[in-house]
Amino acid sequence: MRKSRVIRLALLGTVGLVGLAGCDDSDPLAGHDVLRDQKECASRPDPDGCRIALADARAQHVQTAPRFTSREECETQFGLGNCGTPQQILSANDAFSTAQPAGDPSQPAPQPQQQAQSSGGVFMPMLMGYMIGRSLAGPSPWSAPGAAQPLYRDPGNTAYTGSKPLGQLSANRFPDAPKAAPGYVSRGGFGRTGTSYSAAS
Amino acid sequence: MERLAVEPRPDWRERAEKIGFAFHTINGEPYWCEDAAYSFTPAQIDELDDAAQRLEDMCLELVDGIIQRGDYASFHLTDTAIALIEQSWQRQDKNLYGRFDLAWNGTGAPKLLEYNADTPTALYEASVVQWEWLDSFCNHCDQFNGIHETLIEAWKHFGLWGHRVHFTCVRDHEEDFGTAEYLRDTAIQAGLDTDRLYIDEIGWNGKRFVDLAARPITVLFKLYPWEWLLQEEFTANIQSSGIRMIEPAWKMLLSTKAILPLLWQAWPDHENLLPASFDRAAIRGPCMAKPFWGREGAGISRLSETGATLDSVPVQGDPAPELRIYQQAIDMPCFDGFYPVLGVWVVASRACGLGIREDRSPITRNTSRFVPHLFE
Repeated sequence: MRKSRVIRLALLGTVGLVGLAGCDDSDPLAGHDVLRDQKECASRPDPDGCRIALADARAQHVQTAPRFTSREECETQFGLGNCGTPQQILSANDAFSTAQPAGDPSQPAPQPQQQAQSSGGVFMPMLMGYMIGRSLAGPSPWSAPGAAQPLYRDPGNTAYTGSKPLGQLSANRFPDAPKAAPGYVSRGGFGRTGTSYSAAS
Repeated sequence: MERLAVEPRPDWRERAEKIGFAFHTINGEPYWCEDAAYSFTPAQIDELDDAAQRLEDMCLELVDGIIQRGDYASFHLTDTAIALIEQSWQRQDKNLYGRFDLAWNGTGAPKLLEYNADTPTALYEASVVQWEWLDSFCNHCDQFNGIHETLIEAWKHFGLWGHRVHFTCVRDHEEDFGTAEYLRDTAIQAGLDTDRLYIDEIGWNGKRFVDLAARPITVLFKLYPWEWLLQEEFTANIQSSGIRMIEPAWKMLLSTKAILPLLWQAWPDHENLLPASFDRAAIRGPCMAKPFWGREGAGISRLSETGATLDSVPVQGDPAPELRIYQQAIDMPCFDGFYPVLGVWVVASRACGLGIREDRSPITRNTSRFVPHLFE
C-alpha cells in the first residue's frame, strides 16, 4: 500500500530473534543434578571434576547472583534471612566450600547483621546449591567453566539460576526452604497450560 | 488473483536471519516460502480490505450487544471470565490486533473461515519479512501491508504514557518469542517503556502482579490465550489487581468459534459469512465441525452429509474439545495443488495488511507455508 516506506526496527538486529532456538525441554532442571555442596560430589562418577566445577560456580556466583538495592526487596523474592551483602554472602558461603557440608552445625549460620544498612547497598540471595550436568561417561567436562551453575531458591522451593526460575525442587530432598517474607512474591501461577505447546493461532 | 511461480532468492535464508526472522524453517521444512507468490489486482485488495473491515465492525457490534444484554449463554464461560470481560469492556480497554482468515479465489465475496482475535501469529512474516521480499523482488509492485506503521500508531493511542508495558509468552518457543519481541519493538518505537518476561515468571505479591525485579506489572501484553489463563491459579487475581491485559478480556468473546454462529444469526446471508450453527442439523450438506477453542487447525473435522468424519487434526490444550460449532464446508480455493488462506490483519480494529498461508491440505495448520503476495 505504501511502496516507498522503509521499515525500521528498534530491537531486532541488536537483540535479534536469532539464537533463542527453543528446545523442547520444558523442565530446565531435567538432565541435571542438584547438589548442595562439594561433599555430594563423592557419589558422582568424577568426584574431583565435580569439586572443581562447584568451586568455579561458587567463585562466580557473587558476580552473577540476582542483585537488589535493599534487603527487603531481596527477601521479598528469596525469603526471610536468605539475603545479604556480597561480603556476608561470601563468608556464609565458605560453609559450602571444602570439607564442611552446608548447614553443618559447627559452622556459624549466616546471620543478617542487624547493624548493616538495609538499603543503599547491594543485596543478593544465599547460595543454596549447584546445578550440574548429569553426564556419566567419558572424560569429564565438569571442570570446564560454567559446568556447574549456582542455584538460589525462594520460599516456594523454586530453584533459580540468576533471576530465572528453573522449577520446583523436591521437598523430600530439599526441605528447608527459607521462610516467606511478609512481601513474598509467588510465581508460576500463570503458564502451566502452555508449557508444552505454542499459543499461536 | 493468481499464484505465480517465483525463483527464490539464493540467499533468502541469510536475508531472513538478517532481519531477525529465525523461524523460517520449522521441523526441517521451509515455513517461509518464496518459490511462489500470490498476485492480486488493486480492486481485489480493496475487496479484501473492505471485507475484513466490515467483519471487524460487525464483531465489535456483536460484543457490545452481548455485554449490554448479558447474554453469555452460548459461550460456556465461567463467572470469572464474564466479570473480566465486563470490567475490560466498561473500562474501554483497547485491543491491539487480530487476523481474519478468509477463503477467496479472487471472485465473488471473500468468506470468513475464522477470526483469530486473541493470540494470532504469522505477524512478523506478514509485516516485515514479505515486505523485505517485495523490495528486492519487484520495484513497481505493491503489497497490502501497512501493519508495521499501524501497530506503532496504535500504541501511541493506547493511553499508556507513564506505564511500563510488559510483554510475555511461553518459554522455549521461538515463534511466539519472535512475535512478542516484534510487537515490543513497535511499542518501543511508539515511545513506550517496555520489558519482557516469560509467562511463568510473572509474580504475585498479594496485591499486584510483579516482574522479576519485583516491579509492578500494570499493563501486560500476553501472547497466551485467555482460555488457558482461565485454567490457571493467578487468574483469580486479575480483576482485583487492576492490571490491563492486551488483548483485553473482552476479546474472549471473539476468540472463540462461537462467534461464527452468532455472526450468522445477527447477519444472516451476509456475503462475507458462511452458514454456521451450534446445531449440526441446521447446516445443509457437508460441514466443518470446529471446536470452540481449537488453535492452528487443531480439532477441526470435515463431516459429510451422513455425519462421518472425513478429516481431522489433533487437539492441544483445548479446555472443552466437546464444544463445537458447525460451519458450512465450501470447496476451498486451490492453486497448483495448494489451498491458500488469506489472513487479513486488523490493528486497533483497522484492516491494514495481508499474510497468506497455504497447505496441500484444505485445513491450514501450524506447519502450513507462508508465501508472500503483491499487487500491481
